[in-house]
Amino acid sequence: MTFPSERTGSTKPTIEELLRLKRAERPSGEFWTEFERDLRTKQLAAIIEKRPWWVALRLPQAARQLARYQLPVGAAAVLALGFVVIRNDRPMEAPAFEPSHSVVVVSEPVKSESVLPKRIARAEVAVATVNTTEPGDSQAMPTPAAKEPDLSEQRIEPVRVASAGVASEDESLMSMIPWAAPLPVEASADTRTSLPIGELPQVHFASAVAPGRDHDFGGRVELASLVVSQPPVPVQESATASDNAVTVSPREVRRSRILTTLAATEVASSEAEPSRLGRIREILVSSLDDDHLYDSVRRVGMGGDRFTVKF
Amino acid sequence: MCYAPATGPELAGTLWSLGLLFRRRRLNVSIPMNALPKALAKPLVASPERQQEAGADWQVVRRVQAGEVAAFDQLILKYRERVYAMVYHMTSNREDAADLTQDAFIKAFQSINRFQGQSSFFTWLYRIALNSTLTHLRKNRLRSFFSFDKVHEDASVSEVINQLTDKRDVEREVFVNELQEKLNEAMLKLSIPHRTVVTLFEIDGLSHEEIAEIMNCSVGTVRSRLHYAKQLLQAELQSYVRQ
Repeated sequence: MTFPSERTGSTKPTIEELLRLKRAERPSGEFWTEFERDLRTKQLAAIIEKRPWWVALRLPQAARQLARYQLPVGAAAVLALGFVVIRNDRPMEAPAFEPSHSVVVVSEPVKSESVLPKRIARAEVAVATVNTTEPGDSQAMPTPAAKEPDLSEQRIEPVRVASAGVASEDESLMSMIPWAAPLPVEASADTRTSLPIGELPQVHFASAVAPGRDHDFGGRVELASLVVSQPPVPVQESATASDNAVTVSPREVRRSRILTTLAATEVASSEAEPSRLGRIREILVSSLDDDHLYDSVRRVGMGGDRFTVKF
Repeated sequence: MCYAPATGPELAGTLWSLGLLFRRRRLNVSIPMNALPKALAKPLVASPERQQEAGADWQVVRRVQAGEVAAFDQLILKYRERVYAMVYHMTSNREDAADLTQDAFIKAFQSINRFQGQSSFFTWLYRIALNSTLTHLRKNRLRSFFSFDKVHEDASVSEVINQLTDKRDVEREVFVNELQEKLNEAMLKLSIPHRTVVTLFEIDGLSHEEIAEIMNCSVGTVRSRLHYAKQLLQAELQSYVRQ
């Protein structure tokens, strides 16, 4: 008696020959009798069974007949859809702002960029400098700070403060992307009327959240003292009360709330944990700035009749 | 950089240009041959026997499509063993194979009106059975029970068994059963595409072209799968086969 492993290689079958064994596996005649009976039963059940309506529609067959037109029809459909979307999908535009005295916002670069990281310094760039013109002068553009002495005699009218994170050069880009640009915020009426031009409050977030630091703001009033001295007025309420109501974004509301809370915490808390508070302030400043950073780096936008892509 | 949206005339012009492009066939898109449907890639050259068989089947199918339901029994009787064998060698379970074969015939009967004669009825039926089998195998991937049919020894099979052992009577039968089990285990270790190719070529005796049409792949793919599957089987059954 010899086992397969003991046999020499030349006498062993090949794999093809071995697979003939599989061909020899066949059912018996009884199996086919039972097979036929079961098949007959299933066939009758299939005839009686009601087929669903979507099978009766023969959609695959119809789709197969249209196969030759798939490419041109698909291309035309995509083009038409894109056309319709581009024509109809226009973002909401901000309401027209027509003050009796137009106010121009001018941005100034920060002098001490070495003190803060560049991102924080950029947040401090846009500082409101008021410029009033007559109503007819509607083509007012951002003017350099050299024009400030002309305005010294006038009171502050409804001030349109640009968002802190947007530099003036970015505003031309943002005008092409209306929804990406930060919405203008109007200062509260109380603040506006009580301050003469010489005491113009110039918002400075870094100094508000980190007053202990050495910043060079060119003699501008810092927000911290402003916020502490005046209880926070809900921005949306003041905006609705004003005649020249401008929509205030939730982001600005949130920002004012955070800064107010922070200032109150500053007053109430002792000097027990100065370093911790400082860290929190830095985190807040950077997170507030991230919003504007993301706004400025959006590449695709749509406004009016234009589709904008930044490269 | 700004792009103004296309106006109505511009859009119409673009569509017209696209239409010209397609009509003149200037769109140069290269598609690999194995990605094309088989019927477009290369016409299948069947043997005269196959063509004659396909013609006879087509006549029966036309009768069934005309409403003569009993004519379908001829097709069942003609192909049930071949379809069953294919499913059985894929599943290694006779009960599953019987159910799947019956389901394949039921599906073919229900869809007989959709059969347009673009391929032979045999190929179409095989494809239905194979798809049902593949679905079943994927559903029951973790469950595998052997249930074998008896090996009917003919001359060629006896010769193979004699090469492997000189046992007689009961011991020989035990050896054959053991060999059958090893062989089916090795088959089940193959992936489904490789098992399909081995089953259709080595056991059912189909040509490469027919397998390619049934499996909707190229002939080269069939050949490479077959070669790889045989290597795997040889490694798995090395104590039984010549190296």
